[in-house]
Amino acid sequence: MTNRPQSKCHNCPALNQSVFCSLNDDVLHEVSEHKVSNTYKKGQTLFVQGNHPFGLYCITSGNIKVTKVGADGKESIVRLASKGDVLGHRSLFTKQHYMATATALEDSNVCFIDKKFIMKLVKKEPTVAMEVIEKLSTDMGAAESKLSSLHQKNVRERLAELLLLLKESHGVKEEDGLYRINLKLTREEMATMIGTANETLIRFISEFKNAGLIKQVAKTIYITNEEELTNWAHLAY
Amino acid sequence: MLEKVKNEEIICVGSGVMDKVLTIAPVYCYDVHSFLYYENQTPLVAYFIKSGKGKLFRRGDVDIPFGPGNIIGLKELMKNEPSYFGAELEAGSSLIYLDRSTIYEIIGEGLDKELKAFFEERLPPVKVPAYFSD
Repeated sequence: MTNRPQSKCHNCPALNQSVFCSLNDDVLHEVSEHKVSNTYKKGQTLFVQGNHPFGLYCITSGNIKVTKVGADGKESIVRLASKGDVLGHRSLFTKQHYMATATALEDSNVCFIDKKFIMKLVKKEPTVAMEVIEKLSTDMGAAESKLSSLHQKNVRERLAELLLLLKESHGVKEEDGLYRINLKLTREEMATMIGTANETLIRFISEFKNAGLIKQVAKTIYITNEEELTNWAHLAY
Repeated sequence: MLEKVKNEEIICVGSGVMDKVLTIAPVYCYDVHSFLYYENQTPLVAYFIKSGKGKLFRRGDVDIPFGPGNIIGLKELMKNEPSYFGAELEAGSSLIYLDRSTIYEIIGEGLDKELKAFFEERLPPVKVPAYFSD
């Protein structure tokens, strides 16, 4: 069995951010030989809410949205995963079905490792277990922050917070010092991320633009006044 | 040509082997219509269909049905090659996942002679990695 050269873990641009970052060359080679690498085109699903999990997904490049469909049939984005992130790790240690659907927001390269191999690796290389625990803890922290934000903040504050989070995860500093959010989300997708209606989100984006906090060129958002945006977000640490 | 591809991509399993496969891995039900893999992708696991039905597709204009007793994605998985077809499964179907680890166990550890022979006959020579027999 031979992997395509570009899919070797040693050459992975996301290796330093992945759960395999501490592995030595020999073990990394084993992972490389065992995994399956694929490109998911925009709109293709990695897994679907309700189906049974069977392994771990590592994002090498691109962006994946993780969504849940509520009882009313409405879809909401619960998190975004990008280079170096893993998906399916929570389900590795439970017998639960996938609680959400993962869909590529753009063409994305994703590697997959089956559950049996991962469990074997976790026993042999405790550093992998530690990295997975760290990812789970980070996810839990983010989920708690989102929950309290939804309960305690108004839409204006939540939108400011979302823009700051997107700046952290997908911001690219331009020559003029502004941050460009390098992620194309529809207004509807952004609205579901902060738990509001599409129309409300559009109204607040206009307000943010008028206040000089952000600017928009075509569909791309730039952060123009991060300090004021932070004030509007009422971030508590 | 299509018939040839179809015969290579869908493996039919007899009842004896089917019963044995059922003893090595759990059966999972799919409550919603799902894409198992898309065209030009390497399947993440091989899928052994227990009940229900699905189809292999190619650019929306080729549909090849599969059903109970069929295994799909096996050769592409073990050869690490992209599949010419995509595969989708209808809601209400059930299947067994045969991942690489499980196939290495069957072939390498020889847990069952009949199963081992079945997979060896249908796959190019599979070298079980040393790390998997540690």
